[in-house]
Amino acid sequence: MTAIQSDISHISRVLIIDDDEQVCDILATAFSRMGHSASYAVTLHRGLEKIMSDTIDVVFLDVNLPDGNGLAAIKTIQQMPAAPEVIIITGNEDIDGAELAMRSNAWDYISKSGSYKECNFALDRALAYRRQKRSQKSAFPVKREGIVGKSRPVLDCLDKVAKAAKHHMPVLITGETGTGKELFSRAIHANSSRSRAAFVVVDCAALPDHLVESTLFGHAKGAFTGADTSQTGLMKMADKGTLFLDEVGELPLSVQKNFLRAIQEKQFRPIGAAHEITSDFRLICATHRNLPDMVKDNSFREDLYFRLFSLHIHLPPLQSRKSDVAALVHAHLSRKYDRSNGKGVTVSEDFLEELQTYDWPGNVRELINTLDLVCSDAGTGDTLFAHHLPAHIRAFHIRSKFRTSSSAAADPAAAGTPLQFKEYMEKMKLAYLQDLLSAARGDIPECCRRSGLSRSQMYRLIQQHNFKIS
Amino acid sequence: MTLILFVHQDASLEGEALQKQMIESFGEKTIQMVHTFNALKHILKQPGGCDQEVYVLLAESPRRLQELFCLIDLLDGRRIVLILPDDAKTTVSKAHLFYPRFFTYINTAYDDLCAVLYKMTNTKTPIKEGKNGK
Repeated sequence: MTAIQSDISHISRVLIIDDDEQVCDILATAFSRMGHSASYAVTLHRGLEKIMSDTIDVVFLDVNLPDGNGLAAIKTIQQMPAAPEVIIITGNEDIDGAELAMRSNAWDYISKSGSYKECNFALDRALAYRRQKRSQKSAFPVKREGIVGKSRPVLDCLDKVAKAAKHHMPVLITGETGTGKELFSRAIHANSSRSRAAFVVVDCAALPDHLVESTLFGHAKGAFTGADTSQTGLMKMADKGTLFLDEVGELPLSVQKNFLRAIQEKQFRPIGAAHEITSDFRLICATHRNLPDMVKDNSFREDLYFRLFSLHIHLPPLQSRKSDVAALVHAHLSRKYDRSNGKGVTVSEDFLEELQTYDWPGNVRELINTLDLVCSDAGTGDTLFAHHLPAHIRAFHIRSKFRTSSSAAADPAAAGTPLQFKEYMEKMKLAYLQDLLSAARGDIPECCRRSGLSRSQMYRLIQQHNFKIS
Repeated sequence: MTLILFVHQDASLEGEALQKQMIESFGEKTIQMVHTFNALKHILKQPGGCDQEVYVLLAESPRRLQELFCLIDLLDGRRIVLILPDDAKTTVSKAHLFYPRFFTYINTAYDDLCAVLYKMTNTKTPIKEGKNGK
């Protein structure tokens, strides 16, 4: 028995999503004969439900489904808790579709006109790959170092943290502001063989251009006016440890050439020094900027970019991992009250629901700041209610609720009895108030100016709809 | 943007020059002075945008650095600038555990420190001379 055959000897769950029941039936029978548990769904919706309820290992996914496009659903499927491997099967092959499938990290793109052996072969390979991936994961549990969340995007990033920790190659971490780039960098360091040495931060955005070189490389006594003593640079301080360049996109072009040489050769000369010194550091860089664009407009060296790009971790915005919001809230509150030895607080369901609806443009950092503010406003109460939340979050929630109910009303299948005119008008008023408060950032005089309502009318409306203005 | 300047009350001599230069450079309105650990703890427990504050912490002795280290949990996630008592290996190793945005040493001219803080707080500053002798 070959290695692959032995790998797939135990039962795996395979799902076929195709609107052609005959195809489903043939494939399911073939896979069952191979010893797997095979099931099928003829719509995308049903298929997604099955993936959620059963632990599926591999999905054979048709492109043209009655209720959606299979290619567009790959990412959604991969982000589900089981994160099955996806193999695209299609009756209408096209090169763009195949490319899109590969870019979306699908396992294979197979034509239905080909032999079914092709499907069997792809399934074998996908299952072998999946087992190998699992065994690697369990062999190396990652210290999370304060990273909270169990959503698929976070687990994928933690896999990459584990991979990065095992190697010494440079890592580039990208992501919007507030997504936790430094936290993930620290996790790589903490999980690496360098964890006993220093994790040295260089904040490229905080350093004025004239200080960057001496801060990084150090300088000898008398190297320039004011250099009364020699000073060790941060690159030397990171010897045997990790050098973390935060906001690497801000590194001045004038320094980039010398820096590239230093990271390639682990050798550099402090300013004004006679000799080169060595430092064995591991480099992790982070940025919220688009480095390829900076390379195009010549504000970032291409050779340095490729050097940094050995391993890339892109952190998801909080908007794309809303299932983690509750865990983040609980983790922050328990940490906060542990620190202050204070009485803990609980959160109401409506509080969590509104936080989960909001889009968090400032990501986790904004969520944390909001929680701190809310706790302070809530005073001595032991439960946080939605009512405690700032007006713009409440406004966002009610708007999206209204949008959902309007679209449900517009959908003939979902439409029930039309609303009473009075009820409809109330909803419209509420939506208007949300918009107004949001546009004026909760500033009442500004709301009055924009709406033409008097101050007393404004307050009456706010009171009627139970808003809290912070 | 607020600068929170911690100079312990017992460090008045060492802290005087720093305090004076900070006030001259940024004005009293931007700086919140803190002289005790209790006051610093109190501020750290207040809600506020972590990105709206920079903590400038003077550790005029290894002992003070160790005392500040006891607050490391509360300082986590804040933008920290440290002024260290010396450049001994043990001192610098401890300093890195604060993940500071910048650090310098006591009894220097503090020009570099102010240049960094100008940039961090987006304060307009006169153009400085090139440090690399350029």
